[in-house]
Amino acid sequence: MPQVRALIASVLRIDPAQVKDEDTSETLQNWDSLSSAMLASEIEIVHDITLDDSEIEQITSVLAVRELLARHGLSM
Amino acid sequence: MVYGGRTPKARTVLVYGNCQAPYLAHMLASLDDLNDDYRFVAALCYAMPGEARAPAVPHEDMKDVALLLRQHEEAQHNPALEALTSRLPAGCPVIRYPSFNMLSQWPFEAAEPRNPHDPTFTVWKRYPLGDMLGLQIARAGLSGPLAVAAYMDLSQRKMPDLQVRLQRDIDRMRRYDAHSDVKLADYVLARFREEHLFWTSGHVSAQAMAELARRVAEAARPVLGGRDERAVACLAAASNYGGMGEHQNPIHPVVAEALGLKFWQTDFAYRWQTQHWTFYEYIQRYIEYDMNW
Repeated sequence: MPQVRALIASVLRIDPAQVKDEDTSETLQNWDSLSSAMLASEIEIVHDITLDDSEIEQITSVLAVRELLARHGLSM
Repeated sequence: MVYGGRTPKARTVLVYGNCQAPYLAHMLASLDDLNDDYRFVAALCYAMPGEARAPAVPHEDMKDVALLLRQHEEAQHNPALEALTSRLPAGCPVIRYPSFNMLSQWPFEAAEPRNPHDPTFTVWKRYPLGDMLGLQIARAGLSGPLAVAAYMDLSQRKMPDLQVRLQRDIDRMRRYDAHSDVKLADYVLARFREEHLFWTSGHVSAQAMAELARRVAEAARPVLGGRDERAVACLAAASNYGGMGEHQNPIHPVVAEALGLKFWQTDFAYRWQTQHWTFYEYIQRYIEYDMNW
């Protein structure tokens, strides 16, 4: 989970300490569909997978990123 | 970031958005047949590095606002926009325009975590655009031509389906267009293979910015006046500033081939601050975080 928060922070260009487990695209400034696409890109490259559009659209919270990784049997 | 305005009585046109907004304001200030004297004031949607909030527009620039040019953003509540709109006069017209974005040309882009002491580059880093595979090669301790060879090998193995990546860009551009009075997707899709439009995923050439300005001027014509033929001439004359920023992020040869980028050439030298490097020269320096320039 800390690494998921660090990934999100790096994409959003914010301090990792600002990202909490309960955060969403509504609570974290700068988190829009462009950020979600960048998050998806890093996950895809690191783990050699391709996400479908519906999965990327759901990348709107820290929990959703964690659940996405879990669905693919991945961890960070 | 104020552009144009011949007299102290000039009315304000606010140009709100990301780093593209000041360039748009600069271009629009070149229009010389508008129906009044206007100053174009760029208002950033984000805070600069080290700052807590976006810079506020000075009081004197908010006195007589004729128009807000608002870049489309998905966030429902951006404090920067809320602070700006709360100071607008009632009934102030608003025209929405999209931002330029294309991620697919740099599939390995990531945040740059390295931050060595570098007095020459204090606000933005010497290498502000990270490359996740380049970082991996750097962590392995490779340098020189061996690092480049390792990067090329790794990047070809890791290359994602670029048609999927491109389609994501296209879908996003069309979504932005759907929320905007000004459209850009048709222009980008017709040109990006022929011209070096995108210098980074969010920075574009002077020609691309001129086209955005022309389209914004067209949408703003009922408020600001002016003619399209004159706008084309003024914007062409104002396009000699060289384009957005000091970096042209080099494009991987496999990306260029997969996306059909006709302007790409092996020996194309990209601008990087004061330097001009090919893709291969750049990636070696990036991996090494070369500071000897």
